[in-house]
Amino acid sequence: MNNEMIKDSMFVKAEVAADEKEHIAAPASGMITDAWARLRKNKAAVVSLFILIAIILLAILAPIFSKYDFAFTDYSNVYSTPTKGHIFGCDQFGRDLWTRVWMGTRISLMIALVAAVLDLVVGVLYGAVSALLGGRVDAIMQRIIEILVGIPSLIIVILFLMAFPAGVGTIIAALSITGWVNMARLVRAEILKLKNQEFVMASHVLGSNNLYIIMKDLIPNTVGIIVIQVMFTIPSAIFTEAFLSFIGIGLAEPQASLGVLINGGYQVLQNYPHVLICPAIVIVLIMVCFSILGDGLRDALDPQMRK
Amino acid sequence: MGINKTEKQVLLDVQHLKKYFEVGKNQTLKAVDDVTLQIYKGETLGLVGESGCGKSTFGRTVIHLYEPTSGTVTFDGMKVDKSMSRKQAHELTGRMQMIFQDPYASLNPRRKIMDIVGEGLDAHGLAKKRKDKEEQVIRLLETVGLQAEHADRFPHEFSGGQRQRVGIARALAVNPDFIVCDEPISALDVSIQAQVVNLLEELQEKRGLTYLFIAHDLSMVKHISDRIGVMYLGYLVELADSEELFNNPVHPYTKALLSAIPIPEPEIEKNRKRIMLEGTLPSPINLGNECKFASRCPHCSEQCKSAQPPLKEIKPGHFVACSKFC
Repeated sequence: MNNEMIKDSMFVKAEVAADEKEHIAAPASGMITDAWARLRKNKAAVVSLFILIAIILLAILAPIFSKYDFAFTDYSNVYSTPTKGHIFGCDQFGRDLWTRVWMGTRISLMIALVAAVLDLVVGVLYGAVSALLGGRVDAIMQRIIEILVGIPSLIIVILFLMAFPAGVGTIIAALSITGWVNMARLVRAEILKLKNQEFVMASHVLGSNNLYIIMKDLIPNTVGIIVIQVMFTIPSAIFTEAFLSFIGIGLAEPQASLGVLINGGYQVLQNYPHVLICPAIVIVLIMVCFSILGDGLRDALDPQMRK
Repeated sequence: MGINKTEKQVLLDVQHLKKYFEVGKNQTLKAVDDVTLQIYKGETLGLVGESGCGKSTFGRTVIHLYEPTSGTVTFDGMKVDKSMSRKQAHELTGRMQMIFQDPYASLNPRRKIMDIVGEGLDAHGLAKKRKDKEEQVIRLLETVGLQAEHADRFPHEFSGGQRQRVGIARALAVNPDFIVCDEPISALDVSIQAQVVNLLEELQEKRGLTYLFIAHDLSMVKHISDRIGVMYLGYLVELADSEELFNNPVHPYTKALLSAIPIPEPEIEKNRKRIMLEGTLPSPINLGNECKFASRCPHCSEQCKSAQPPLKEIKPGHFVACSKFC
């Protein structure tokens, strides 16, 4: 019935200008803008990011502006509960816990960051060299990694700490001995995948040299997984350090790290729970926030998630 | 297209080209096995064959992405192999270019179109200043039907056809003589395929380009090619002018391949007889001496199992490798 009302004359070919056809209406977006836009949608990740920024700022600033030194003992305040002067209370020697917690956070974060950077440098170089050279070199390098993976890393770390004097440097070295392996494997896999991609071939065909291809084609495309791996390395380094200090082979008194503080608090848990709770909350926050942020970054940087 | 026969000038001469890959202990994959052909200046040579027959490997070996196992590739009098000096190899990249199959994999997702198209200009020092480079890139984008505003965008913002045109602009940047088109249209929609093929033809006319056009879409290859080569398991089984190949196919494999093309006319299509080949494509690993097609050939005899027949010229310009039909 309605068909009779529709006539050919009612249809006119739309005029589209030549430059309209290829026009892209969406605003230009790059990798970082895209990733940030996606990350911003992830509420948990944004909250985690802000909490982490706050913790890092406190770790840097709180010990500086505190009235007390982290090693200053005051026997009139032994195990004092939180008061105006001592926000987190005091420990068994009357040392201010507020200062000690943030000092410990600072040291824990520093150990984790340095370990993560070492993992990054060693792992990326090792993985990239292994993947790019290929053949026999690759085979030998991979066997070395397999041997390292075969020995439980905790045993290596504990033996290392027994053999060398305790201290921040020793812990960082112990964490880095085995930590880079995962990064190396990831980077190797990614570069093996990338180096046979057509855009890398196109660069060869265009006459670009190898350095150009590594800098412009290979590394920018592995940044995503490298960032994500670092985000997961940091909390695991913090955890390992805390664990080592907790069992008593990490940092020694009066040095504070989150593990040392938790160890101190755990011994008086029934009588003075605040000594344990304060550093425990901080370490839990760091671990959870890094994990959530790492997950968020993985989703944000992974092109597969692009809608 | 359609060049005068008298002024045929060989641009690319491929003699007995072999490319083998070691795939395991005592296992050799003969991806390209003894291919001999010439490509003349200004023509389009189509190369067809089913997946895995070595078309792409042939293209990549010709353009020196792979080092040939044996045989020679001579481009305009220069031997293309590892004996080239660095300078020669670099010069060669300015004269031979490639358009890739997958428009989603062939553009670096982390770089802007400006840098992707301008890469050849940088590598060959063709643009002295930033502004010069920008102008050249914009001119290239306009040549392939894109606009200046696209230069600041990333590949993921484009459609497949647009990306393929970016890939063409990238290849044109160094002003090459010869372009290997490695299945440039097989990843695109049919309507976009025509757009890209027309662009390639137009560019050939304007710039006098020579193409090696690798594809598996026979009707498209017939449309664009002056001559067509048919490959089977790394071996060139038939090579002829495209009209001649379509009208008088000689090799049983070519016949089977051509019989598979649907005809866009229902009455004729109904009566089209397809030559169904027996069995499946044998593994290209560790093949014996027999004719490559022996295991599936409906006319196979004892003679075929003893040796691979060489490519013979049965008519001027029509080459066939079959012991039964020539």
